[in-house]
Amino acid sequence: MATLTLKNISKIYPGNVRAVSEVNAEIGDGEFVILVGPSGCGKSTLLRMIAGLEEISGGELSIDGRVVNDVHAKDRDIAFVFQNYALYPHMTVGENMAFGLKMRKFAKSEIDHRVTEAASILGLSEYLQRKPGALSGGQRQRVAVGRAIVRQPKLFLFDEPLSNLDAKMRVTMRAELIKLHKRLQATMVYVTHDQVEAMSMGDRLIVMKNGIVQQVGAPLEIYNKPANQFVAGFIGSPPMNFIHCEVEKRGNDWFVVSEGLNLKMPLSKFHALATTYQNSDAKAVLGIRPEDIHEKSGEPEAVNARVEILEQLGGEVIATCSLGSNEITARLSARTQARTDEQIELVFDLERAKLFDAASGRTLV
Amino acid sequence: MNSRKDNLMAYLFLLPACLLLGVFVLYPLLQLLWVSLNEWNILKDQMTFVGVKNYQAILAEDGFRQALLNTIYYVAVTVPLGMAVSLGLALLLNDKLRGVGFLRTAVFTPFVTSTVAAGVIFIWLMDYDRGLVNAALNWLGISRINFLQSDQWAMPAVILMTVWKQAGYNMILFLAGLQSIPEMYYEAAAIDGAKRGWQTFRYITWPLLWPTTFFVLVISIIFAFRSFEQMFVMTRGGPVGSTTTLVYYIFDKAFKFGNMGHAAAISTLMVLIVLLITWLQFRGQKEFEM
Repeated sequence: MATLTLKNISKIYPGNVRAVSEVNAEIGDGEFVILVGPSGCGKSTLLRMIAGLEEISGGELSIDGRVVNDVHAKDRDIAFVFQNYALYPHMTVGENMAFGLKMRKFAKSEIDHRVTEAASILGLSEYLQRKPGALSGGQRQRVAVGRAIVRQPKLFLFDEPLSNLDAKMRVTMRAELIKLHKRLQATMVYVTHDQVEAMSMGDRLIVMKNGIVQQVGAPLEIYNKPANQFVAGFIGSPPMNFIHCEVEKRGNDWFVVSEGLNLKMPLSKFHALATTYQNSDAKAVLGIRPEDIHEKSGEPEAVNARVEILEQLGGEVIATCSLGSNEITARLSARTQARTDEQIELVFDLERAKLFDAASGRTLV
Repeated sequence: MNSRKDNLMAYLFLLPACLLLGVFVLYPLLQLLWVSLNEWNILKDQMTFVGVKNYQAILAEDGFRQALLNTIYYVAVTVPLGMAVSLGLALLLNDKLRGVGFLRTAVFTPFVTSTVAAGVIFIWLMDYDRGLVNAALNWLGISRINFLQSDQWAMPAVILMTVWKQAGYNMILFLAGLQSIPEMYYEAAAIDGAKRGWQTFRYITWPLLWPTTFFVLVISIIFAFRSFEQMFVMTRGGPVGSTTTLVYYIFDKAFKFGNMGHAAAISTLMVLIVLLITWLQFRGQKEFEM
């Protein structure tokens, strides 16, 4: 178990391609941290730098206070679970799991003990003599995890380990990994592009885009207080709605105005609005999550939209509606009376809405 | 009804391949077997059925026994040595160094050179008085060796030439094999603590390269069994029969002595030996399957 410190970590490929820029993070002992972002955001490169599979171009990486920039992967005392598992095809499941211990010259009895124990935790006991080729995807995934845990390393690194599994298996393995983390209390860094995985598994998320960290925080903190429009849009499913609008001050009140939309902002936001916009009108982006849009039930102020698509999910209905030239998604109750191609009156819960800077995307209000 | 038509179509499609195989493989093989059961002197052009007499005669011959032993010696040294050299070269040239393409081409060139030309060059290289090899030995303080005129050294000289000539081809096969091993296994091994170099080679490269190695082994043995040109050019099977391999012996029997029956009998025996070795190899291959 260990702490991990990233200080201005950068990766620059030949031709001055910046894959990772100046990443700073402090990962505590026993923490489960998720690196999340769209493909090509540099999250895997960052993880591989932590592992020692990729050279660090700039900055300082420390494990337990020791700078490990120039320490070989095998000497960093980490375990890495690969996206494609990377199980040695010529070794049995047992040999795969034992390999790391064998290379580190552990006694045979100790190796057997640890492999047997890991196999029983992961439900692999009866497959120890099989080759990886004879296993299902989920079982291979377990072997890859088993290979990591027998080592009892300081740090576990996972590179999109569930992305090759089918949807059902992914949910099962997700739960198993959470349980495993609870049981081992080990420090884990986990890369995924799946925001559901990120939200449900991590103690803390590091959201990345184009090699730059956008926000670091607990899942709910990131969900409720996104640092910018990108984070707001990336975390949450269906994603947050964004509506380009004007912020207008009329008398003492603040309004957001767009096509088919003329909404008074709630009192609680006035202070922030006044500080940000200093009494003048400005362009902005209104961000509101689908679950913060409801069907009208008695409220005075509603927005008229036209229902385009209804996705019945059983417990709820996802409605895609057009509002002027904007398209918005609302999460409605299963009992909704909404019909496709008909008008619907929607209420925006502006207490929970965000305003982003139209140019930079920064969260303003 | 329909299935009969389908069957007919299938046979029609198979026909060209069967015809080719029949005309160029099966018929000659049967013909060979037939000739081996006859006495046939090409000068007289007259065949007499003699049953297994040719085989009895062959097996009693010292010349045949010597040729067989020479062949075993030649194959047993050429194949492992050639494979080790070409694998070593492949490992060296698998890096993304500058100029590696040139080096690979250079190593491959002997393979596309005519064996006759290469053989002549080796005769010069190994010449007792003016050869480069002996000059080098002399410089190192080792006494000169009359390679091609010595019944001890002629075979090693031929083997050396063969290994040199074949290494490039095997190297290309090994290179392809090395490059088909996914990088992730090396990364996993690095994290598992395998040291670069021997441990990585022993636990990752070697086992994952096995399909290629096996293929190279099979074709190397077949190539080695068929070797003829280098002996013909460099030593004429001599001195005192020390480089007469089975194929060379067949050639002697058939075209020097005109004894087609004997030549066919030896050829048949050789086919059987190669078949046996290939069968053993494929049985061995199963043991290693992943």
